[in-house]
Amino acid sequence: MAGKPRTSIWRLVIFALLPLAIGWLAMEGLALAYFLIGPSSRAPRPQLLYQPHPYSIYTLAPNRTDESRRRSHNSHGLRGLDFSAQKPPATVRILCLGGSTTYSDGATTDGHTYPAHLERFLREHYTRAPFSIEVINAGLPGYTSLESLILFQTRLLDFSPDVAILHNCLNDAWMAVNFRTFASDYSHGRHTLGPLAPHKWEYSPLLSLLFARATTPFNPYAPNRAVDLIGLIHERWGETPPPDALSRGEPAQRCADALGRNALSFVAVARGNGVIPVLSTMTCYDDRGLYAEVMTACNDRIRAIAASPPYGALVTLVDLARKMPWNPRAFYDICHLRDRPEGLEQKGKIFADALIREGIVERAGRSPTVNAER
Amino acid sequence: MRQKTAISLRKRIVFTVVAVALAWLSAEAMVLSYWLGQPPPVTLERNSLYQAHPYRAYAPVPNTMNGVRTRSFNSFGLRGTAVSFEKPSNTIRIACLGGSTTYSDGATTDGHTYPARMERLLHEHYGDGSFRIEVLNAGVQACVSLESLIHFETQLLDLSPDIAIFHHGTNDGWFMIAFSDFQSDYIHVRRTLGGVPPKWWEYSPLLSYYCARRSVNNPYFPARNVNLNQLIITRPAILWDSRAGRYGEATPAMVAAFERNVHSFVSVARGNGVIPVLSTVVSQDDRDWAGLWFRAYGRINTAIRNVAVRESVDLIDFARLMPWNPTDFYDACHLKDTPGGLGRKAQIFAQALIEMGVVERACERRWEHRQGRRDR
Repeated sequence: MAGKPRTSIWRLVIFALLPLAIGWLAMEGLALAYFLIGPSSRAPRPQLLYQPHPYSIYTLAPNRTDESRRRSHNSHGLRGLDFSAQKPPATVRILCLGGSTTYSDGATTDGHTYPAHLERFLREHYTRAPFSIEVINAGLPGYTSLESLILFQTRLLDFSPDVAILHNCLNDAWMAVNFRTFASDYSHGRHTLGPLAPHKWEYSPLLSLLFARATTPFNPYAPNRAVDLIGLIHERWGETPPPDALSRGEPAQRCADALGRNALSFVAVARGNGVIPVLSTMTCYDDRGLYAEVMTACNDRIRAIAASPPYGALVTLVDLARKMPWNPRAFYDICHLRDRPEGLEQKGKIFADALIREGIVERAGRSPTVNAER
Repeated sequence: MRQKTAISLRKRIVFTVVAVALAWLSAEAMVLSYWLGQPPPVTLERNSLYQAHPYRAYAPVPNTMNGVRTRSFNSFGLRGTAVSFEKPSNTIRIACLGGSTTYSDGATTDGHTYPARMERLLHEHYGDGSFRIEVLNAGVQACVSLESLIHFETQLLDLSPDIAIFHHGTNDGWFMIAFSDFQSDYIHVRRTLGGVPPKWWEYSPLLSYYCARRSVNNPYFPARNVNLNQLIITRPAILWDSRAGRYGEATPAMVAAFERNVHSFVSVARGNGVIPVLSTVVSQDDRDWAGLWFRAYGRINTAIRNVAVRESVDLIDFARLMPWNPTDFYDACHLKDTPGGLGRKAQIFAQALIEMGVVERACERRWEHRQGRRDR
């Protein structure tokens, strides 16, 4: 009986690898087909609303609209209608800086945010004024006072604002409450956003399907919708501070110090650039817990800055926390307002009334930049 | 003669796959043992001295020292000896902000930088013992005016400086002429450090050994041909590519962004009770880039002088007091570690502070502040 011909080692390798490769490719093809015709193909692809920034971690991506088409970002990466970088003649330009409460998370359209309401109230009041009023929504969800300050001095000053309202506190308080450590430059809690790209393995439809929970929001087949902004920018999010630190009231003190320093820098930069600074306190659900304690300390610090010399004479304070206490009809969570007359609209009215009462808009209207343009 | 037994296809596949895997793994292990047997790689100095920062793109790693022990960062990431967070009583603290010219790239030890030398000179002058002078070297290599402004606001103000010297323009100017798509928040050029993780194949010792295109963060043998600029600049190749047509003029809009940062620094310093001091920058005036460099620094220095006049800020016109010369400078802007180089710079700055009475004013302010608190 003749012996079986010997198979060379190369053939063995090819025989072994070829079926493996074919099998793998077939499975990749199946997974790809699933993504192309399966349920995920019908879901709208989310537009990434944020982009990395080397100095403020992230900014809003310009010219984007969210999935529900309720929020749109203009060409400057700010919520609302587009505007010219060069301030039009005889225009008082008001900047509203802040976090999600300024961005107005609860607003169902860009025209229902608190800055949009503020603009409408001011325009109604100053119908006969020799200048027009333009309010820019410079709120970015998640922003602390430090990020607002950096945004203000790196980009917003270029828009030649006349008035700037700083409305930050909540996210600063989060930074103090949710981490074991605290650094006054908030580097304990933030990490840079990015890279905004999928992992290498996510280009495989099969692996993307098998490890769906580990995918990024940038997966080319099925973007992970469970990852939110917080997950992208926070370091060790949700750490509980040690009990001994809580009993000493440290989070409240350190947060108020950092916020106070940033607010002072904001006032200084604004005044140095001929911008009228306005500070404001923030409303928060008072459950007598740590968060409320930190918020109270921060609000007190803002009031102290606005009351103490020399700032008392230089800064206007809108004490929103006292004028609009938390109530379930106006707020849908601990700090965000509903899109209804007693919610965002009321907030816009409170700010408008304060600016009118203090004569801020008239003062800005008399400024050389507005007058010279007239 | 014994007949050979036939091997099933399944066994052949298993045999082949196992053999290939074992061969690969043994090769990986051999290369790994080779790496382990080698002396540990000296990590790239600039790579190990800096870390990513969420608000400043990059920042010095606190409590680090370079391989040859000539440069160290203290616990606040400032070059030089340790300082306390709380400012000691009877101490006037001076913060020197800037880029590599303040960091003093050419200094062979931390004690030879211009801020360290200036501290000694001021000590000698105000040597009656009534107060101490402490000078902080807050210079960070390659950093621009905007980064120093953020550094000042986020960290240095907490150290309660009395005087802050802002010595910027060199890197800002470079960003203006090297990139045509200039943006006032510098995002056209800056990226956060740390955005270069090893490529997936670099985790294989075998591939790392054979492939030359390793990254700076290769776990076995980091690439050494990488400098700080390549880690923090979006298109580092452009920065060094001065071919005709690549570089452009520093336009008024570009200089306005720089002036805005200088102005913001002055405002923040004054708003926090710190005396601001501005200074112009020196640059080689005959670099062969069709005069672009020279014109850009002329405009930048004019902007600094304008802010100083407009806002009545103390100015050290370093560009006029120490023009570029090949004896004291070892490149277009960095001074040698010689008495005529960094020693002379320190002397000019110390002399200017003394003549302008800045230290005395800082003392008066502190006294008034203390008196005010006592009265209240």
